[in-house]
Amino acid sequence: MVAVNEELYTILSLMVEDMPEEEGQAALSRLAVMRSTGGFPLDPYLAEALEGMARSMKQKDLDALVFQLLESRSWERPLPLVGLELAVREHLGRSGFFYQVERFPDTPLYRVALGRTKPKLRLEEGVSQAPWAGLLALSRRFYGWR
Amino acid sequence: MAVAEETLLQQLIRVEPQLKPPQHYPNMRALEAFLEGELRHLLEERRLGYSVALLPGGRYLAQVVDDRSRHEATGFSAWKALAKAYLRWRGLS
Repeated sequence: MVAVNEELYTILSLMVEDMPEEEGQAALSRLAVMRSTGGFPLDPYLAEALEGMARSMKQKDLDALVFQLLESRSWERPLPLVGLELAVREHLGRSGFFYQVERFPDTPLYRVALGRTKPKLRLEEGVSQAPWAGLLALSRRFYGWR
Repeated sequence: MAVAEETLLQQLIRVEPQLKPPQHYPNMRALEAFLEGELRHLLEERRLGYSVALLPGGRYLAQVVDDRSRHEATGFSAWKALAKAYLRWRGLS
């Protein structure tokens, strides 16, 4: 896994572009802090997931999610990525999804599964180094179907 | 004299003192993030497999897995389910 914070910064910057100016500026300044403090390890799957979100989610859902990611979690210890994952999971739970995150011992990989019972039972699965990115990538498949 | 029942968090901290929150968190979500993050870190360091799931009914199911066994538990939040499963794996619950 390589750190590509610039990429994350760019993608999230694009997402907040359409927010009201004051909120957008506040979000961007927080992003700048996150970037300067060394922030996130990102894998290509994650970058793809973020891009997919930006393209396929409705703007208001996107705004809500980005704000939730930025606002709702403490970025201190323990693991920022777990905080981020919890925010994504809460968002998905509220959107009617159920999910599973499974850790494979002795590998950097997690299996992620995302499902919905309505309108009919459907389950998608994948493997990712970052569960929150994997779950978002899976959710994109559901939104793509709509 | 009646002895107050030990909470799940107290039990967890007794077994794994490093999981004691280093500060008072202003809200439950921050505490949940701390506990789930630290617990998962502990499981990963000890090379245990685990899973956390939100079930369609709104409850959480967690599993702690090693080569020979699989312990699971449910709860109303992810860290509680994971903590119970871990304590079961340790044979303490």
